[in-house]
Amino acid sequence: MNAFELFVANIHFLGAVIIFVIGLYMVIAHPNLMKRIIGINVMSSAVFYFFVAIGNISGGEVPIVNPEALTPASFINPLPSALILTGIVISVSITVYALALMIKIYQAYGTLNQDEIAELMKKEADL
Amino acid sequence: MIPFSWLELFPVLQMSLLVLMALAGPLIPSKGVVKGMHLVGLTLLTISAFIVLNYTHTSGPFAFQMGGYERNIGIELLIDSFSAFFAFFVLFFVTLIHLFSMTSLNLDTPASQHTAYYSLLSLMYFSMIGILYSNDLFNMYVFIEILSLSACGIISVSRKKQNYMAAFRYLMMNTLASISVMFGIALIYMLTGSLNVSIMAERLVELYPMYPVNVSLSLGFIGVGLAIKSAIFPFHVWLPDAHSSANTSASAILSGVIIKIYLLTLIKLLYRLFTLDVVIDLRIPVVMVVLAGVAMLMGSAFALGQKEIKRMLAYSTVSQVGYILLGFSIFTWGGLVAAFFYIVSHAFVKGLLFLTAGMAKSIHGIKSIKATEGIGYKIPLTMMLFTVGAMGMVGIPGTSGFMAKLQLSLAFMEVSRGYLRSFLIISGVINALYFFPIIMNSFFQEDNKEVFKLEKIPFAMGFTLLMFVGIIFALGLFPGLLLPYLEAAAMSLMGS
Repeated sequence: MNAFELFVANIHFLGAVIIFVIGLYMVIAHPNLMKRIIGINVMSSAVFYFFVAIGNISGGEVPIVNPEALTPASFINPLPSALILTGIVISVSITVYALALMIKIYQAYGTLNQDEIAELMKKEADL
Repeated sequence: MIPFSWLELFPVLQMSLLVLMALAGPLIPSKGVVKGMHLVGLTLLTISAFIVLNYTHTSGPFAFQMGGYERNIGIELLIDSFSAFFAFFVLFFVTLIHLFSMTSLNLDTPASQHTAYYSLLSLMYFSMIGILYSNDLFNMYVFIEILSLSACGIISVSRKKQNYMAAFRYLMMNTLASISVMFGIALIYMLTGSLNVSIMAERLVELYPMYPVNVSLSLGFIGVGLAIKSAIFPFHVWLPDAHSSANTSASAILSGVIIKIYLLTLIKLLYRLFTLDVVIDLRIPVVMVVLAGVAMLMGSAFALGQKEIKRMLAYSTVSQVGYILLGFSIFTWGGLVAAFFYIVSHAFVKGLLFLTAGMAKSIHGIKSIKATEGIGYKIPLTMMLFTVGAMGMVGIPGTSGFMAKLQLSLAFMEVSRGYLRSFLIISGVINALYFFPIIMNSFFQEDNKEVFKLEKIPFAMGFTLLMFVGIIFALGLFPGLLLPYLEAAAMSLMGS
């Protein structure tokens, strides 16, 4: 198998990893809290994509059992999709909580820039 | 076929009761009733966990299939000496802390938040024993998420400015870690096609030689995720803020049990999922020794430079995680027992320290180490209890801290790696260096103007503190009370 075929065969996994790294960069490098929350969401979406891609078979069928035409070999694995449903719920609740915290932080400090908040906190600690 | 015993329903009932308590809390208008309900509930749970522990001790481990599905499809709870012991330990510890918090919460948390606080705590206990019992990887992940969300929640419950930022940082790090764990789960699910830990382990024996990259990547992602959550040294950045800004009872729980749960999950997965051969083949023990050594030294060094008592205690937790990790890193039975002993001992010692430091802060307004001058005369009981905690932390003979360190060094001697003891000694010396100034400051001040007078400690708080002191000395003098359970727990991890 040459490099191009390998690339095409693993396109979902590579795509997921690229999105993951973009999200990680956002979380680590951005001082803005809002962007960091978005970064977290991008990262979790990447993992969801990866998880669903595991269960996928190209040309596979929807896993609804049809008693007339049973072709079990070509069913798409439904378990990862079911797990990701749970994952999405968790991701939503984390986002909600993070946004609520962000509102409180904005009310307390008047900014969402992490560096500025750190400076304000330092000033308060010195007082 | 082993006859089904009604005792085997206990774990599920325990978890259901905790969720019910969490949901019922907000519906009850009276705060006193909520506190009472949680106290009764937690006492019942502790007793039931003790019964389950003794049941597994006498008649061996048992599995419980949720909803009666096959274990390949459904969710399996595996209750053995390991999970039953630590579930009992967690519930016992938090029951004592709950007793303390019934009074202390009035001092450091706005009254409107009490019900929410207890609901979050119940959810936290639910997820902690869930992680311990569960034998299903994805289920474990869900419990980990619930635990980290509710742990962030109890930090922000105090409604103070710095708590929001601490909670936000904790949340960001925790979420990064969770995503990393999930990525690891995806990578290993890809190979094994099952989420039951025992089945995955069986299949991995064959699959590891074929796909070593997948397995090592998965181990890496899961390991880093759990390392962030358990604050192993380079990933500890969230811990000092989070643990020092939480209210008194919450910081004792955060430092006492929560980070330990993640460590236990890590060691459980290393033994049960990846199995020892893979772990040794990937040189995980070496990585763990290095991380543990650095954590022990750096955590102590950072603690030395702190100005605030609670922040110092938080950094000390970072170094103590290193001790536990060092015990795990030699991967022998003795090392496991010693690390388990350390976990139990550290929970009570650090719990006592955080509770007394929190009392000094919330009742008497003493926050910084500088302010401790002469307070041994003003609040002698609190400072005496703090001293007992400090003795336990440094490892004065007679306390549980000494026994834990002794066990660790014996375990290192057994595998003829006695040089690891140098970490214990250096870190122990630094421990003494940052605890003694506080004690010297508070008791041995020459030009002291304060009049020596015993302060009053409310009954519930005093009872908890006395219990903690009793346990610290009991474990230090009679470790035989605890060791049989720990040995069985270590055996059940090694054996499978």
